[in-house]
Amino acid sequence: MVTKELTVINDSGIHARPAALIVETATKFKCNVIFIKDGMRANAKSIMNIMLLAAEPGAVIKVETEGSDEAEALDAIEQLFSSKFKYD
Amino acid sequence: MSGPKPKRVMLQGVPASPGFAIGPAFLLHPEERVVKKRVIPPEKVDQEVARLKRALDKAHKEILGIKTRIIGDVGEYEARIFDTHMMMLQDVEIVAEVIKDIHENLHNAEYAYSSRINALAERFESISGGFLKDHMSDLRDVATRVIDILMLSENNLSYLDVPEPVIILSRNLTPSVLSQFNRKNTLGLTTEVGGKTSHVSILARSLEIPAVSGISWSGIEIEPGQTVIIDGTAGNVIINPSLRDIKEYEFKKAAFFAMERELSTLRDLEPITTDGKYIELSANIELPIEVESVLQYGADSVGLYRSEFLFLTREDMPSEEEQYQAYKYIGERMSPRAVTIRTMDAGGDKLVPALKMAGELNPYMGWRSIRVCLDNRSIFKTQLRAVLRATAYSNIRLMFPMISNLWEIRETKKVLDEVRKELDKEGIAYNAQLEIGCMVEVPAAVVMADELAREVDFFSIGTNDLIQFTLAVDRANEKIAELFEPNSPAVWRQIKSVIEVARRHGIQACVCGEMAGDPLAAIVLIGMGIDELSMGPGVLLEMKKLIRSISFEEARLCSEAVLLLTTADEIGGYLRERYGDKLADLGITKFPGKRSSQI
Repeated sequence: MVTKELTVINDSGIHARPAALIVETATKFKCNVIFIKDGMRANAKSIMNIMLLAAEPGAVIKVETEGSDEAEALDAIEQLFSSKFKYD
Repeated sequence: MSGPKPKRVMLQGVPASPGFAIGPAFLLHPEERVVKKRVIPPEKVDQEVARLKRALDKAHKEILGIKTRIIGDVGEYEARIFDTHMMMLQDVEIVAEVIKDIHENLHNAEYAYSSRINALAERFESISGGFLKDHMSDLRDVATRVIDILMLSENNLSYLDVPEPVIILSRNLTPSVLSQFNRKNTLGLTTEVGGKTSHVSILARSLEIPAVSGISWSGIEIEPGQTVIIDGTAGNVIINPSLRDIKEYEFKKAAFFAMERELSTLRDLEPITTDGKYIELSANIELPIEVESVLQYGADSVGLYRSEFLFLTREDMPSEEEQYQAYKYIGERMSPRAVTIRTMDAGGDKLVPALKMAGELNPYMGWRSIRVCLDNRSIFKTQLRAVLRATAYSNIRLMFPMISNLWEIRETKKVLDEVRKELDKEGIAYNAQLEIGCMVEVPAAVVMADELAREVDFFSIGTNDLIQFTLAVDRANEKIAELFEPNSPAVWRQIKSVIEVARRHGIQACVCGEMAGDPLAAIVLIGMGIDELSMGPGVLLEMKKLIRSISFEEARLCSEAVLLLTTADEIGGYLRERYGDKLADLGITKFPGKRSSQI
């Protein structure tokens, strides 16, 4: 299992579109991807779980991946955060 | 029908899509759908899970079908919400919980599913104010579809299967449910929630279905099949109309169709006066999806895209990417025609939730428009980046609102240059020849127009603000509504001077305020030498008809006469006297009211 703390740095927090991007990314990997915020655990492959975290700008999220491709998954998620959930 | 004659009831709502319809009522949600709890025998658990999965599959296919249809009918941009819908439908956690409930508690699929959704809804409600509210109705839309499929598979009865033309009376009609109805059998519709800019109203307009929103059914008795009249132009609904009502509205309906037919032949003709002067006719829009009606009405361009509408209906700020997609979409749909994007004009009556704008004592003269942008550079820069990126693909122009001194326009251009440099550094493409303009809507800008003209490529006169500032009449204050007088000579003389300045500097002059869409005012504006008139898409064709029936010389003489008059009453009277009959002959009936809430 690998973990990392990531900060939401886009202007609008994790609303529907960033949430959709997170799910899209997490689903590409076999491993489990869990987001933890304020003690709440969310399955990153579930759009409802991610949206329910209600992560606003500045929120810190602990990302936990576990499985055969856990390192790659964590990298991909980190990239998504640092790109402010952009498409390009 | 037996019993006493049903009572005639007239309701006033909000006009959501123009046109008239008469027909039998179809009640979309006569009562709340009741999902019954049943206990299934243990040996049928697998069957029940399979039934759930079939329903989810079917819902997925339906949403995909709707998405394709919306892309075709309305556009790619508006269809994107259905991607989120499909993701909600396939949400692994929801599906796993529901299957677990079926296995462990032997609940029937629809009950297990709806209780899971209700539990989620409760959690949504408890979460910080409004952040996710919009998405809650998306989830409900998806859930209703699944539950419908599950219940229909049982009694094999499609409530959307309407055999004859009807008028749909609904509480909250979603675009996806509306698109399930056969267009031919949908005469008109009403909704309880949602206004002119709700998605379903926009869809109704693009499908040309008359619609009225804001019609509440509480306390009114109505049976399916009773006759209803919908007046989507005025926003009226009559339940159980009298024979006289029916005759009157049959006539209105026929006249409306005749007018529409006639106007549609105008679509491809040029807005050119009888002596050959071309007046560019463009449209004011608030939402990307409106470009469809702009194209439908044959506008030359979008003269004013009110970008602040991207910011008004949400708690967070739209990201650069979201804004870019919206601007690019409008630009590409309109291409090669021009699109003038006005930067965020927040404040006054348009509060942006994410900016936490406080109510002010004097909001129209307060912290609004370009002032807000110059005070929030990072938000402003995000918008400018998005616009600049979109210019790489289409004919976009950029316009800044409420410029009242030289410092503001120079500072704004400095910010724009900073953004250009950032993009250069990042190697991102944009149109280096981008035209920029400013709105002239503050008397100080009229006085300083000569200097401002050296800074920009075009002027756009915002008449609504110019009138309120010139006359010191708050346009939101009902008590002084009568004082809001577009025909004031003080207003006309300023407009004339701005057009003159623009001509002297060889830059374009446009009017994008309410006056541009008023037939009498438009004649004067044309006579003063305006290059472009920008108005609501709905009045474009009538305006074109008017322009094609007058000569520039005639309009010029008229404008000269107007400038000699010294009171608003004289000017109004003169214009009505001179052109009232002509407009009546042309069948132009739309005289926009004195007041307006926009711009």
